Amino acid sequence: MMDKRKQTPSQNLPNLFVRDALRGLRYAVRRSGHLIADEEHKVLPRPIGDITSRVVRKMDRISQEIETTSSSIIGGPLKKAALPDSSFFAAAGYDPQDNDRTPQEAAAALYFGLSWSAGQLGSDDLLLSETICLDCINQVRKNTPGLPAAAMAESLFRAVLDRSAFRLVEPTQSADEDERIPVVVGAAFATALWFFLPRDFDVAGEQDLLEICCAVTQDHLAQLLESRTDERRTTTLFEQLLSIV
Amino acid sequence: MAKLPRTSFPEAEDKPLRKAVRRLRWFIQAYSGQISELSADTGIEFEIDRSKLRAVFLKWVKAFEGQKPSDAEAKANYITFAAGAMLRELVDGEPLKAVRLPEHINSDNPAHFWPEGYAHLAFCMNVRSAVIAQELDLETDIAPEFEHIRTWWSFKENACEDSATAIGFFELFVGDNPNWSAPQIFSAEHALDNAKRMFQRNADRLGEM
Repeated sequence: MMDKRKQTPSQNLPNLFVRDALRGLRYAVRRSGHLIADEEHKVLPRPIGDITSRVVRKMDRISQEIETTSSSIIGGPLKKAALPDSSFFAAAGYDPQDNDRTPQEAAAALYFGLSWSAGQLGSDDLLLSETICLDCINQVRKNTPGLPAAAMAESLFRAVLDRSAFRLVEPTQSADEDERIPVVVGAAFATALWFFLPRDFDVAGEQDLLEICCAVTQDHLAQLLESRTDERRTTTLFEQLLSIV
Repeated sequence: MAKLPRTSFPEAEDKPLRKAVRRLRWFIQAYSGQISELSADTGIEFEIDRSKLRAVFLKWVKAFEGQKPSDAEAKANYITFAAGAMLRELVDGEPLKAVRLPEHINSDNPAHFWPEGYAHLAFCMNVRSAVIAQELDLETDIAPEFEHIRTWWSFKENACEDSATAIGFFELFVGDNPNWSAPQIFSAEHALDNAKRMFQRNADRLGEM
């Protein structure tokens, strides 16, 4: 039997692409549904409005079935993107060079951290790409051997933002005005902080730890948004918070 | 002799307590534990505002790092000042609210007179006591003023008006000689003087045994 832990990242990419595409399709259908539902009350006469609502609901149901069926067929390491067991983290936090932890496991933890943090920070309606989560982990593994925790956290934070792990579809406003930006930046920061936080004493479970990271990130959000393009300043903020959280 | 309200701090594994205290997750859990114990002992129900508590911690760490001495002897004597500075931030940040008092209140009981101040003081005194026991292997004192309601009247009035005075009152409550002129500024000389008194009290205690 083939050991999944030994799979190379490229073997999983097609699966992840398919699931990302299906998730994107459902996201688009839902968003369209909301838009139509909003508009129909304003402009569409009653019978037509009812028909469009029914069509949208049916499309959502069909795409959900396709995604569920495909996911169960495809399976794959990121299928169970859930809170990782505390044994996933070493005493110094996530170790990208630990060969006992596959990139897929780390990508699943990253996916969970990002989506959960985004919900904590005010938005549970963002589209997140599994493919890009895996890509970000591979980038950190490749680029950060021997670096201090703050530099690794900065590297992960920047990868999530630069590679757009959160797919900000329907940009209707400029980037500075988009209300989703603080959530995206905050979630990326909180998750990177959680990844590289030392687990040197055990007073909180992983979910409590992630919650504390989100809360501290929220406390520093204004400072973070101001400095998010300045690698040196965000590294300093990681340094400061990694030593006291 | 006055008795310190009980608590048990979270395990810090092999980490010294003086370092664990400077971790937000330890601080939140230790503070929450102290408040639970105090509620059980006094019948007072409290509510903790976690956001304010985090802000208190972050301000305290900044203040702690800002005045931390580099000299090893002064570092040991910094413990009381650091705990007093924690009390100042707690008084300032108001992360705690007493939401229900017991049916029968004794206004001469400091815990009933100022529940939040009493809880803050208990926590900071317990932190100081635990760190000193671990670092210096010494027993700590509680001054009789801890149970004097007139001192508490003055403590509350002054600390609410100027939270820096909380550091001076903290020194008073732990049996030290308070620095009233600039309590918020760490003085190595003042701290050494108080440390010598603490060592002497411990020596006297051993002599009496």
